[in-house]
Amino acid sequence: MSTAARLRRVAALGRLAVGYSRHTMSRLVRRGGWGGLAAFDALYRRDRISRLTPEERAALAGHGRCIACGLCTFAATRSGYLTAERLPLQLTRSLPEVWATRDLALDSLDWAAAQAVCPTNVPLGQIRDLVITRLEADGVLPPAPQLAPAVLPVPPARRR
Amino acid sequence: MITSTSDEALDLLVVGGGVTGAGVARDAALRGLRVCLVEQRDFASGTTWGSSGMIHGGIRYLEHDWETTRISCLDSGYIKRIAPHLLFPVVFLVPVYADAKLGIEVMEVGLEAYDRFQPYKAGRPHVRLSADEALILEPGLNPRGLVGALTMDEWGVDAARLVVLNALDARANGAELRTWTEVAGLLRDGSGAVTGARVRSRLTGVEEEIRAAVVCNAAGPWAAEVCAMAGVELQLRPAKGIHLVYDRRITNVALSIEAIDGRGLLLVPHAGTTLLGTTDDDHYGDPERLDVTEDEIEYLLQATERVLPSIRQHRIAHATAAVRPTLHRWSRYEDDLSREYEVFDHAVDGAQGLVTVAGGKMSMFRKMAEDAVDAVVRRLGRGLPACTTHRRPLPGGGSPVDVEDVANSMAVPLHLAQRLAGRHGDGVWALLREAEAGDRGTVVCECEGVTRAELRHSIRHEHVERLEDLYRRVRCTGGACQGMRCCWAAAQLMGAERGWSPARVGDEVRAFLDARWRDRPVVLRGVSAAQEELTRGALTP
Repeated sequence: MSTAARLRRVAALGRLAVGYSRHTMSRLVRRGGWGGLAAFDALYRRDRISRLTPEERAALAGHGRCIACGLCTFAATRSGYLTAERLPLQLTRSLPEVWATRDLALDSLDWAAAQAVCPTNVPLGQIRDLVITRLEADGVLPPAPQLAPAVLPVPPARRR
Repeated sequence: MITSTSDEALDLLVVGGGVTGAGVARDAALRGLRVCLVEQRDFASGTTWGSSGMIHGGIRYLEHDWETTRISCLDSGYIKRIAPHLLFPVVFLVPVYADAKLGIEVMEVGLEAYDRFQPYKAGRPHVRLSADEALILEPGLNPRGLVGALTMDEWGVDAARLVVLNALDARANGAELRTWTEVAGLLRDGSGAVTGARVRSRLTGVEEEIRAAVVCNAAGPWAAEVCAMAGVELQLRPAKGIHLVYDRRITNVALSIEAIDGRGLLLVPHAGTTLLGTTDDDHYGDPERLDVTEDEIEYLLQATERVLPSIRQHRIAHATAAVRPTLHRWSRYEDDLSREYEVFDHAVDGAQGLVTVAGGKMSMFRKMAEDAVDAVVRRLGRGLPACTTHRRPLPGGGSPVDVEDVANSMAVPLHLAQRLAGRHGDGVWALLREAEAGDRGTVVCECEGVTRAELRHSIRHEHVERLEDLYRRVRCTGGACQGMRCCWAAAQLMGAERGWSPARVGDEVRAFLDARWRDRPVVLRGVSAAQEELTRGALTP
């Protein structure tokens, strides 16, 4: 390691040490609870990066069991772009993108019939419920903005 | 477009079509240089292909050099600005357990420091969660010994598409692109200076010479091999890394995980998949022949199940393996090797006209390209405009897209409009206007929601040479079945566009399936194996 690199490392560790002291002091005087989850939700609601319920977590592994045999689509017919098979295979692969199913008539398929013929027991009804629940929670929230700042933000001023 | 590279010398020949090479070609073309890029396979098929798909700000450098973190965050911000449609937020949850190497207070100090740099890249500040809150956010976490958790964010990116857009922008500014073309040797004059390269098409076998004032070697793990063609020794310490790719997002937040040897691993929700990786092992073999082993998979799963016990229940679609062209350092553990990069002007080695850019990481590609082109310009000795790649949008990144407007006015389902806008940005309008009405909503790749319209557009405009290239353009064949279901339809459409014979279509499908098969047996289990059997049965006459 060069001398310059060593000096940079010393400076970096020194800054972190100062940060640690400041952090420790602030933890000592901090009052109240953690309150972090509310902050998390506020930061990422627009991106639809949200908490999973225990039920969703338990069911999620089953979403990947679809082998694209197409039997459910025969059993439940289709409604426009929506087929039973597409729900696990395409439309719910990314939960933050589930909002984009809101133009589909999810109640128009016979999910029980679709579920009954599935050879790998994909929980189609449960997935449909998950989507409905998330759409209801989402309301009419518009898509997350693609905008990047036209001019990059100025970094915070150095502490004196 | 340059039509005959062999007649007249170019300014720059770029060897390598990964993110660095494509970035160099774009930067140089934007500065007015006459450029040709050659890549032995398709764009982004080497190291970039096996990346974690992250544009990150370099939090790990805070221990070593804050200036590196600042530059890294700044460049992440630039990439966010020039390609906003390609980037998506990846939110990390860092669960802290009682036996962790670093306690939660120390880790939070690091994140507090990182918060100062987040505005450079439109990132958000960290959040601290109690153990209970962490379990509410991700109920799949192992609760035993959980002390609390911290969150932070970075940007995810479709790495292959990022490369393609750089290459296409280079082409739009006059560069010539040649994929599936390998360098057979470097041309040298009597003084030893490099004056171009002899290249061979892997598709036709035709060889020709391309003369250029400067050759920029951006060949990643193959860089040493290219240097050797000029009699120059370049020492790298290549490191193999694998990722497991799950069929869907199996978590909403990325998880930071500690492996049995203390290395940090990441489980990252990425577009419609989840990536788990990476390993980091010295690799001295052929970078093109990489196998994923059961041991490597077990190493990743063992570490992950300590944090997310249900990991083995989820479905692995495939695995990727790639070699990082890490700069050579002696006596350092693989994972400790920094992702520094360096630009070498080999005039000092007696090979004037050869410039190599090596090392680095994807997040820094734009800066690496800028530095490499600066070196090329110095070598050319010409006054040229400064780099503009940090403010000039990549194709599709010019203006924000209202996805609902696209869906309504072009009569496509919202889900498809969302996918299209994510890949093509404001180019989605031209793509859909060009398409026949019947193609707009007709899906070829069911898993990824890729339509005939998008495939035709890509085949016509995005330098697609082979069937497998479509994965790196629009993610066609990127789902759970890995193209078993849609490869024939995609090949037939490509054949129709290109005038291929039925035999050529068949050859492409066979080559595609053979190549895909190499990454799959090791991860085929459970329903994946069942689907493979079902689809192979259906495909076999």
